[in-house]
Amino acid sequence: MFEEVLAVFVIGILVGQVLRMWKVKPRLWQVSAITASALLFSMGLSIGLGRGALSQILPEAVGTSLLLGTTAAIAGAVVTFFIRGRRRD
Amino acid sequence: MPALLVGSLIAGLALSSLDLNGVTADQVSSLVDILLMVFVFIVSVDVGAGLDRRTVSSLGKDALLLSAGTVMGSLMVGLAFSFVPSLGMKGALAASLGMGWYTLDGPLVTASLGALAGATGFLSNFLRELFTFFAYPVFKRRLGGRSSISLGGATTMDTTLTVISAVGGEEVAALSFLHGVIITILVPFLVLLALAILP
Repeated sequence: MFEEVLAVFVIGILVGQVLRMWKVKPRLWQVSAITASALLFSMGLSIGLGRGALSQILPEAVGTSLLLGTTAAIAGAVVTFFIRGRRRD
Repeated sequence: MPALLVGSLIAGLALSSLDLNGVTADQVSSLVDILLMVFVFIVSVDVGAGLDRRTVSSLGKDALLLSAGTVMGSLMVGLAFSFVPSLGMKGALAASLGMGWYTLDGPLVTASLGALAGATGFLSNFLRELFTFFAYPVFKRRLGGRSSISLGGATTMDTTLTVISAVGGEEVAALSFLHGVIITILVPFLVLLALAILP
């Protein structure tokens, strides 16, 4: 999956650079927003449909996982904020 | 825009509770993969059309700094959770160093440490991704759009790129993708290293 996503990204960047050379400014904001919504809707559906299987794998892991996942995310952002000299850009 | 994205996610979750005539999670996962490719292509064309050489070189340095912060934060939290009896240092670090890549981390940890640690690896990274959807707009106001990219870990090159590009703009979206690529390359090495060398 990683290789495919990377390949699509590189192709997209190259297409964007070609459009830039031709001085074409694509207005993809709305298409991007619609695709993002469809992607997240499908993801929600996928998560919901898989919930039965999820609930069978040891419910006691949920509390620790919630703390571990959110704390790791916050710690990453805070450490990065300090590494970058507390810039709020 | 973030409200629309989060609303779409919630709508999908809500619809899944209805009777969908035998539609399975695997079938929908294939649709997710296709939409992900389409989305990444659209974002990358937008990013490519707006980038010049000077921006790329400055983003590269920033992406490395962001990745270092993401890894250090995950490492610190993994060490802090080493005291949880059901995980130990190996399980906690293997889970935290998954950095959002739950489809890889869950199976790797399960194979090495069993179901409970594996479930923690899967769920903690899955919840990190979900948390990023809701938290990125809030953290952007506190820590800035660039530093807050680290919330998402490896997912900033695909799923959470949706929220980050909508809230942060095209330059932050490019940085987010570069950060996600670097973290995605690092995760398999770091998780396997944690599982291999720790007692």
